[in-house]
Amino acid sequence: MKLFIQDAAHAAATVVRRTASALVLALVLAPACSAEAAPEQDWTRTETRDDCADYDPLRQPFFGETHIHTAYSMDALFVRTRTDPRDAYVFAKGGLLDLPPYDAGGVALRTGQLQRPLDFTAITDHSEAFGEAVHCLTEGLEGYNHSLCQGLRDVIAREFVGAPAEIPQEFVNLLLPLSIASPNHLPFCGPDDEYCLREASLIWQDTQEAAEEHYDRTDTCNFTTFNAYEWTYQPNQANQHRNVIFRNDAVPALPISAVDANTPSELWDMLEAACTDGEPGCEFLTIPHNPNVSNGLMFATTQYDGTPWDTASAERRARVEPLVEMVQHKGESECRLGVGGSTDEECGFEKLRRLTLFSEYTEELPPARSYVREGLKQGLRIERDLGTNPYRVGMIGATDGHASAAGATEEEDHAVIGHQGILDSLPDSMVSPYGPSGIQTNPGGLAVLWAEENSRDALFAAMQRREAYATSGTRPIVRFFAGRIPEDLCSDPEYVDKAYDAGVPMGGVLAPVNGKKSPTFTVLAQKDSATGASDLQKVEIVKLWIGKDRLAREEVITIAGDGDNGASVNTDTCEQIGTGAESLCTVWSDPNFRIEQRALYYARVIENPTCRWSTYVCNDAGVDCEGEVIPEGFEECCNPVWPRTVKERAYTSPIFYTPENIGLAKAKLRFEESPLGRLQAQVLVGLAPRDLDPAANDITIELGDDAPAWTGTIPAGTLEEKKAGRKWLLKDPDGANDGIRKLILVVNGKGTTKLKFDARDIDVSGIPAADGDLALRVASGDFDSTDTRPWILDGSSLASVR
Amino acid sequence: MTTGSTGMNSLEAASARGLLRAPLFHFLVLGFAGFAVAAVTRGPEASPLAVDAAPASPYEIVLDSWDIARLVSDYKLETGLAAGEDDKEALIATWADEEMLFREAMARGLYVMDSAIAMRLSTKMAFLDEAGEFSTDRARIERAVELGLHRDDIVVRRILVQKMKLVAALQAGADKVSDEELASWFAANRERFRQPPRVELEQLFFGSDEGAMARAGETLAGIRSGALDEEGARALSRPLASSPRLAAADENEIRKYFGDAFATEALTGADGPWRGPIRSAYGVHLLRTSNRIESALPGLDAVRSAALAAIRGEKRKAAVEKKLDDLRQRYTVRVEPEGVGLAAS
Repeated sequence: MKLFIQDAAHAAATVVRRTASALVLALVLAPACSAEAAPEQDWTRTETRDDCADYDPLRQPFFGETHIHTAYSMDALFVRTRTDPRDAYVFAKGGLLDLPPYDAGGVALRTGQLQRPLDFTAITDHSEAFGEAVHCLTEGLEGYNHSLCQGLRDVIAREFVGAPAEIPQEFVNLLLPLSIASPNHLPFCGPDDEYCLREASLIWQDTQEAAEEHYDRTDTCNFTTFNAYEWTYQPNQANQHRNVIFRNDAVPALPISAVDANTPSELWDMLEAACTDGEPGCEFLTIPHNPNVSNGLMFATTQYDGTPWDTASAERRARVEPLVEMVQHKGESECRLGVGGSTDEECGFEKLRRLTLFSEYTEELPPARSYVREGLKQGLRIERDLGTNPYRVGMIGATDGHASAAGATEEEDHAVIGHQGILDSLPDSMVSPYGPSGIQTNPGGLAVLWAEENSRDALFAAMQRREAYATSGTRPIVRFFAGRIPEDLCSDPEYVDKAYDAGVPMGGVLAPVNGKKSPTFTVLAQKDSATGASDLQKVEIVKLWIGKDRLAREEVITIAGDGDNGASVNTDTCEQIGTGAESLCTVWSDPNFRIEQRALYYARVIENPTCRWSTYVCNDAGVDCEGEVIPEGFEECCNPVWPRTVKERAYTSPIFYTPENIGLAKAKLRFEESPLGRLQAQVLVGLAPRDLDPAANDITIELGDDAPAWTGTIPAGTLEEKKAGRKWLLKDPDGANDGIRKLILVVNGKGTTKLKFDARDIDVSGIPAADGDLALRVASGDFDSTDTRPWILDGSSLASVR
Repeated sequence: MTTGSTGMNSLEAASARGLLRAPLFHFLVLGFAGFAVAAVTRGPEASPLAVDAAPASPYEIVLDSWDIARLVSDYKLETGLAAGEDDKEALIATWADEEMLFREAMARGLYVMDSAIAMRLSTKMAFLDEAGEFSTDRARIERAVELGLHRDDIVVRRILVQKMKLVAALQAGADKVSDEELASWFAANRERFRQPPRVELEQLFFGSDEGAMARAGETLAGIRSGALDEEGARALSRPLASSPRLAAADENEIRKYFGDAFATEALTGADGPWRGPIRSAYGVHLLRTSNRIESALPGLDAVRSAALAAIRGEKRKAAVEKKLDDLRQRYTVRVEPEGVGLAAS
């Protein structure tokens, strides 16, 4: 049964839904079904395909890639990638991939292969230069002989001797027109860019055909592809990139590129026009990446163009952008020591030392909101002021590789495969100090989606409801729930059923379900199951909240495992020393929980340390920093800035505690002479919605099954104001308002609201006198909230469970 | 996307589909019969690499050392590689193939109605037409062709080669796949859709502590003796993040949840009764497999769209290859030891 508010796809709209301007109390009885614990499937099939034999109502973790480039990306051509989307899919499914350099006969001198296949992949080539790339490589097309294209071919033709200290001028020349505030197609694209758009359309069609060819529509559901592309907007190299992912094969005729749309909101406007409204069955979502090089603009205080957030804009962003790339090869974006006052010692993980996409190395800290943690805090602030959170994002990881190697995230493999084609073909080039490859970068991460089955509809719905987590490349399995989680859940074989029954999963929105007491949280984390994978070191909860002083705060609490377990690595042999846990599970409650305080919680699972990818490269080259044996080109191996070990990790999507919600403190429904009954209830609202004004709004009470069985309305102004703005009272022995004899509404100094009412002689015939889940819904103007929990039959009364 | 192949790569294949959808190309196809007549009467025209090379019959392609040097230098520019003898031969063959396609395209009048070609030829002709003798695009284009301006225009050439490949694919009906074709292709290529063996898998987890193995063993004994029913046995187990029951798990999925050794054991052991204890990455389990689905080949309906996507690509490639094979029978390629005419001087 569905509990609380977990329809994350519409969570923003659910919590603060602008519907009736009335205070509505609706008590809805669901069929008695305590055995049915699985969450409700929140999607329907939109495509023709077989049902999956391996359907699991309790959901399964699917590991995949949402950000990979092939030779259809102009910048991938510069690193001599020749493989296309079909090759990337073959690689993702476990096949061999050709990697540059190639010999004269066109035979690749390197190949790569995943140790384990992926479950899904979205190929996200840069849409801006789809057509230009074809022109530059296809003799006879209009752009082929243009100097920009010749420049590209010159770079490709040069003998590769190592990563250049500077990005080739030819690359800059070619991509500069696409990197300015108002990007243009290249000068050879002809009238109205016709020549390039013509070729772009062919690339887009081929991308779709490759996706179709590799999508498993049989009942094995082994592999899912998505039609997708990257919107590559980077004014002054301040990264605003988004990966655009479509739900199925209904897609616009051409991608909306940065040439078409110059701000994120323009992108969404145009996608809504071309996809949502323009193409039957078309649905999209966008995933931003690399906030770390966004110059603080990915989670700004205002909208991107500087206008303040309004409700509609904030709701839209939360709706179309449910996830953020937490980690990828250009660095991890969670947090940074010293940024936002953070003292979190785990924030040093894979930090890119650049302020924008291709800027110089610097130890200077970027603006705070270049990190997801600060973005999440900013979202809470905006929600406090506006009532809606535009940055209600969950987390995934990806690679952003440019050599078609989807999901190539293993540290040891990275030392061989790399992400940057020719730049990663020589070991000294891999560990060079220069971007975009080099020692600063890392193998990137994976996206993990909890879904019923491996199909496009099911995975897309998981992304929309944020039931997702990021990993730094390994494959631990992590569950995270909050709600009224039983204390002994970790020893209960029915853990997953009961957790869904008693709480919301990662990505969900949480109400004050335990009243003034903390909701309970649970994390169950299992190490990567691969032979030789690291044990787990600890599970942490990262809590972000808005304090009494209205400042955003953070706290990192270890809730399981031991950060000082003594595990280490012999960096000469990369052998792990010491052990951790195969799995960790705990139930936790927040000792500092305050019912009126807006907060979010996400879980971070940290593994025991292993060798960083660069340590394998350096060791293979015979580097011995202590012995001062440092072959030429490997100097960075001994630069203490770059750690020799890493602690791989997973980050779950947050659970958002939103105080403008109700929690049922206690309630009783007495069955009297059929069909009559009496309902008494006491409800807490964590934080009164600002427009809660019984003088201005009707009060309606509804009681029923799926449809209301009984409705009571108290017109605006009926309540007597006993204490200005604090306390209202209704005493009506006749129960003229649909049986409501008494109603008290009290708001305390912190905004927490208590609502008590007593309704007699109401028709309760629609409610079976049996144990079962009941949902209580409260709505008032901007406010709409539901509480669902089991009610137990005791004699002739049903009582809500605490 | 590299030189050296005369087949259609995926870009060209996509290109074929795109152009086939374009109204322009529909016109072209509708008008095709008329051009075909013209082709029969006119035959292909010679279009040597260098317009000044020795006159050749319409079916003879002549290259001299200067032409070959240019191919080699283009190759170097494009790939950074010096062409060896084998490479040279491949470059000549590729050039000859394209030349055949170009001539055939011209013979069919495929340059008509192509806006890009029209624009280029008209512009070139206007530049030459100092007297302003040709006042319309059409007149300029016709004159340009008479003068052979299209022959050494690399853009025109490329577009025509591409169009000829499209025509070849179209003539062969590459985008139309009949049920019979699909069925026979599927019969020949079924193996690529093979589904892995799958089992329904239930497991009971007992942790990784010292007593886990003993508890698992006792539980199994209890189940076997009938002292423990299923519910009782499950009550003795511990939770995992995965579901207690996987409906139809293949090897990859079992590895994902439990590790390599467990997957092997699960798939090789006997179905039916509970078995174990066996170890996973997390500790000790009992497991039961049932409803085994042997590795199977899905029916055509289940993979129809993926098969169609693959088959169209293959047919387009094959149609172009077939066309080229036919053309190679009709054309001869002659390599002059030395450059002739102006090219040699």
